[in-house]
Amino acid sequence: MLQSVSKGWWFVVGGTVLAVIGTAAGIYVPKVLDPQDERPIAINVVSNPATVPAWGNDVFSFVMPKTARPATRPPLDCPSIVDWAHRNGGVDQDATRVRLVAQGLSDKGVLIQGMRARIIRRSEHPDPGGTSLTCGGGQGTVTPRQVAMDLDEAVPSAEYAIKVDGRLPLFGFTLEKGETEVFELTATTKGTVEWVIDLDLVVGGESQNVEVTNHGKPFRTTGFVSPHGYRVMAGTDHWVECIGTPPSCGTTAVSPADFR
Amino acid sequence: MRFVAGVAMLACLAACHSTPKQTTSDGSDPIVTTQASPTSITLPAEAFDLSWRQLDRHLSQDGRFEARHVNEWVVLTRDGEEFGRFGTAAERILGADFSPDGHYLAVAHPDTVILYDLRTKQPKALFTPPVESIRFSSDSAYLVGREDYQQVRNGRLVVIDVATGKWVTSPVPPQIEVSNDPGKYWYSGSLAVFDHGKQVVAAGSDGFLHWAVESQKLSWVPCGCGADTGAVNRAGSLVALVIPDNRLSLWDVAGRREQRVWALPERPPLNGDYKLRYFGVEPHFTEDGKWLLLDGGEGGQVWSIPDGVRVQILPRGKN
Repeated sequence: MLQSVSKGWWFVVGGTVLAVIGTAAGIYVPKVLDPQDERPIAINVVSNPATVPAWGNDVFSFVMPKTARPATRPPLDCPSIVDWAHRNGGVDQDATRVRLVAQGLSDKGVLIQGMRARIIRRSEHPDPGGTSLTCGGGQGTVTPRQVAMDLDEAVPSAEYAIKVDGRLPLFGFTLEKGETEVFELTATTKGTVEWVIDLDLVVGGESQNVEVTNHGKPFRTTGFVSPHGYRVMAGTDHWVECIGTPPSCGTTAVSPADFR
Repeated sequence: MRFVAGVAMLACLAACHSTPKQTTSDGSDPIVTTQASPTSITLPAEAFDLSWRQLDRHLSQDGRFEARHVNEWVVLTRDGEEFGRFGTAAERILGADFSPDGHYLAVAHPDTVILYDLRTKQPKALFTPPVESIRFSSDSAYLVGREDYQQVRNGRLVVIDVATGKWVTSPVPPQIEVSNDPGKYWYSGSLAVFDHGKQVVAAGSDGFLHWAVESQKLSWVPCGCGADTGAVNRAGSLVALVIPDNRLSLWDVAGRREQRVWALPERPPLNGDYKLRYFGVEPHFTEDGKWLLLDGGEGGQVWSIPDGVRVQILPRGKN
């Protein structure tokens, strides 16, 4: 009897070990045979929207951390303000705008099936932050926003910002070797979200997934509206103070006191 | 025993299941600018001589005649000899087109449209409303135009029966605001009448307007693409839209579906503004409908229709 039970356990243990080995082999053997760094596409991310022509006339806002004590004062031109805010922990307010350039590297061609956001951290209500910094906004030609993503969806995926009957789908096209495709993505949230981009690809009949980060970090977006902030109005070269929600900005030039 | 079999099956499933290959990118890859993808069509420059000249001159489809307006209309032969002339009361020209069958020249002025019969050399005023951008149908039986944009921004479309001189006007089109230039009204300089005068398409920025003449139904078909200019072929079957940031969108009129989108090569931006590289560049279908000419700089571009392959033009004398 005891011998029979012991024999049964050996089968269970053996089967489990076999399952673990099989799973590991399924995951790792293909990776060993086909090294990971051979990506089928090159990806370049521009996360400073003030340098992207499509968004040149937009308003850019950032919520700075409450504890922010930057080593330098905020600059005055909008592209530099965006970089400065990101460098000092600023979170994109209302929307994150990313220009993503993909270039085919595979001789087999790369079918781009979709673009999603993989959420790393999400809070339904926006995390309270500190002072806001705002710049940009101006007159001129408007380029309609092409691709949008609602980060508050259960599975956020990129789609045309303007839905039009009869239009070809956004994804489902093939990038041949050397061909480039540009996505100008605007992602929005009412909460606070940290996220990365997932590109769904098919290369040579095999599904692939490329995770795209913001130069090694997640993208960060918040719906928090700070009751206190500073702004450089379009066409001016000084900061003004803004108070309230929605903000009402003064006209007197000030030095952002919080960052002295 | 069943349990063991189950575990073994799970093991097999786990081993055989193919998960998508995962890779990561920090978004710092260099994008190497390569030359435009090789073209599979090569044609001599001479193949498009007439088509290019038709863009800025009033030429008949076979190139036999050219119409010029100097105080009055003068029709010249290919050799530059005067073929005929006729006067007009108004100086301002709103449009001109030769009929595909070679029988007529139609000219539009603020007071009327004049039909000049190339067989009898006789002009005939049609006393239509003032229309611009006039164009014959493929069968030469109808003319289409739209009310003068300078007079009315959302002008009505007008179809004229060439044989009888009778015309019919569309309902007043909706006021369409141009998406990439808020405050500016939609404009169309490319019209087509087809289906024995029963259908009209007007192509311009952001999309095209379709008019079912008998039912008097106007339908706006937006592309949602921010196109700045557009054109419809004479047959009224295809609309090409130029999107300023390097794209061309081709629409099937009957199906009201986007048929193809292709990238246009990099070109120097207008006024140094990167996003306006193809701003103001107008597409033109050739008369046979097989090619699309993109006007603007360095001799322009030629694309095959509908597959969107760039045509490499051989230097002159190398055909």
